[in-house]
Amino acid sequence: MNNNYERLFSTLKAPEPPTGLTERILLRIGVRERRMLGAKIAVSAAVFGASVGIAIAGYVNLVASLSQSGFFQIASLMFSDFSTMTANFPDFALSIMESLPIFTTALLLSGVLFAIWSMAALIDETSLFRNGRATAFFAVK
Amino acid sequence: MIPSLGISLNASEKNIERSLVEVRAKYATDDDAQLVAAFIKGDGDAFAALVDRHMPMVYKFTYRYVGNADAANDIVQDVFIKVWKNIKKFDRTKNFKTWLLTIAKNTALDALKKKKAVLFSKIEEGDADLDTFLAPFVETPDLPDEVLQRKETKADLEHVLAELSPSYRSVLLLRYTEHLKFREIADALQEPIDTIKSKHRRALIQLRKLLAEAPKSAGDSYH
Repeated sequence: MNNNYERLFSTLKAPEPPTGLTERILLRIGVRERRMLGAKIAVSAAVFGASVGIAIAGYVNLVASLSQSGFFQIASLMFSDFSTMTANFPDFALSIMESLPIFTTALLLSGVLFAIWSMAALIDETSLFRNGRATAFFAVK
Repeated sequence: MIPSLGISLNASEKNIERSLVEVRAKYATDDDAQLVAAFIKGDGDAFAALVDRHMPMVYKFTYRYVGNADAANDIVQDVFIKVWKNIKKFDRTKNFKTWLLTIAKNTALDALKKKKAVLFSKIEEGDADLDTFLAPFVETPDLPDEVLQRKETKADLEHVLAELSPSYRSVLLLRYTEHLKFREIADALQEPIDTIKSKHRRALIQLRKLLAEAPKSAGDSYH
C-alpha cells in the first residue's frame, strides 16, 4: 500500500454519527418487529378461525356419513357379538374400512390439527405482543 | 422467523443507551460470527451489540458515499433493517463486515439513484474496465512527497473526494480508511478483484490530478 496515500487519508476527518443513531436504529427495528408480529397474529387468527370451521364441518359430515355407511351398525358387532367378530376378523376389518368415510375423516383431522397448531402460534405471538419480547432486550420493566 | 430483538416501544432512548452499555460489556470478547450465531438462536442483545459495534463504520462509509449527513443517517437505518431481515442468509464462514459494507453500498447506491443526485453514468463510471486485464501488472501511481506536504492537499482532500465518482470514492475509502484488502473490497462491492484493482489505480490517478489542480481551482473560486 502506498504510504503517502495512507498518510493523506489519515488526515481525513472522520464524520461522527449523530448521537443516538444506534438507539434510533434499534427502536425502528422494534417498530418493524411489532408490525410484523401484528400481521402474524392476524394470519394465525384467520388460520385458526378457518380450521375450526373446517373441523366443525368435518365433524358434522363425518357423523352423517358414518350413519349412512352403516359404520355404527358394523362397529356395534364388537360389543354385541364379539366371538363372531373375532372368528371373521378379516371380513369384519374390511367392512369397517369400507364403511369409513375417508374424505370427511381426513377433513376433520386436518381441521383439528391446523386448529391446534394455529392456536399455539396465536397464544405465543399474542403473549409476545402483549408482554414485550421473549428475549427482553431493552424492555422497560 | 427472525429472532426477536425484544424492544419495548415504551423504551426511551435513555433506557436503550443504558442497556447498550451493558450489552457492550457483555459481548466485548465475542467476534461477529459468534454474535450472529447468538442472534439467530434468539439472543436479541447480540444483534444490538452488532449494531453498536459497526454503526460508526457504516455511517462513515455511507456519509462519504452520498456526501450528505441527513441521507447517511437514513441510509444507515435502512442498512441495519436489511441486515436484521436477512441475517439468516448471511454465510457465517464469510466476513460480516464485508457483508455489511455490501448492503451499505447497495443501499447508498439505491438512495443516490432515487434522488438522482448523481447521474447513473457517473455512478458507474469506470465500470467498462477496458484495462482490467492490465491492472495487476500496472503499478499504482505514487503520491509525490511535495504534494503530500502541501497544506492545501490535506485541506482539499474532502472536496476532491466529493468530485470522484461514488464508485472510485468507495474503493479509496475502503482501502485507505477501512484498511481493507483488495479481496475484501471486491467482496464488499461485489465486483471482480481485477476490476477493483483497476478502479483503485484509476481513482488514484484522478485523485492525484485533482489534488494538483485543487489550489488553482480553489483560488479561482474566490474571484
